[in-house]
Amino acid sequence: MNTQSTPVFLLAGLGALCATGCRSTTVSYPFCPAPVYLSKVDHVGDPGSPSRETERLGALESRILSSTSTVDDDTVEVETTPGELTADLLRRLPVGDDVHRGELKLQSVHMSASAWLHVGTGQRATGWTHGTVEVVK
Amino acid sequence: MRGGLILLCGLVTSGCYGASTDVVAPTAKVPVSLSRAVHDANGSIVELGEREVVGTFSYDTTVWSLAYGAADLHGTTDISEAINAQVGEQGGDAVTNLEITGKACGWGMVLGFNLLPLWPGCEYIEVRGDIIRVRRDRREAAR
Repeated sequence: MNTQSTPVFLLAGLGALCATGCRSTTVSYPFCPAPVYLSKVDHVGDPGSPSRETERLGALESRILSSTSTVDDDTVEVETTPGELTADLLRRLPVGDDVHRGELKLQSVHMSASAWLHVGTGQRATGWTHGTVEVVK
Repeated sequence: MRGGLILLCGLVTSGCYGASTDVVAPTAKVPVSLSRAVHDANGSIVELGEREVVGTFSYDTTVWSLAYGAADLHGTTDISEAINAQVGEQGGDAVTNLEITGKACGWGMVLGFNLLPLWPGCEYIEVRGDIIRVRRDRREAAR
């Protein structure tokens, strides 16, 4: 190996090593009893049949976060669990048996991951869901 | 000496890098749910006993950005085509339990180089879900 290129390989190797410990985050609602649709199709069956009528209850903006930092300041944030995310969502749905009439229609799931280096290192992975909470009429 | 100074500058001043994208499925031909639940044509939830998992939906991609993440090169990631293809192959009716995972990749962590505005940042995107088929008698009853 050329001695002049050695630092480059060392730095690249360090970068690869950092990557093995990268933070990740997952957006999902595994415990939600109501559907959370990313598609425009909102029911199983003949795709030619008309969509069911729904009434909009409100907008949904929720955020899931996974972050870590070795910098000793306020940037260390708490990881959001799928259970917490679902609990946040359930507060916006009809209660009791009517929860099955509720559904969420997402326009998109925004995923973002970043890392930074200052005096220490930090990484952050976030996900946002944007959509509307609706109820089947 | 000069190399050491560059490395020191990189360690002290390098900032944020990464990437982001909006995952969408506007032209999926079947319902795609991030929860376990999905409706039938009557608006009732299809119970777990009335369906079977026939496969796993899987989609992986890497999205890139420049200028310390300010310029995303993949503003939108459309998974509709992959959903239609994989659900069609498995003879499924819907995708449930969709999970979308984002993770920073190591490309932007190469110290020193990541000071350059044109040095790319990236993010791995993994999408997984259950491809389900509703039992035929249940579908007939819902019509």
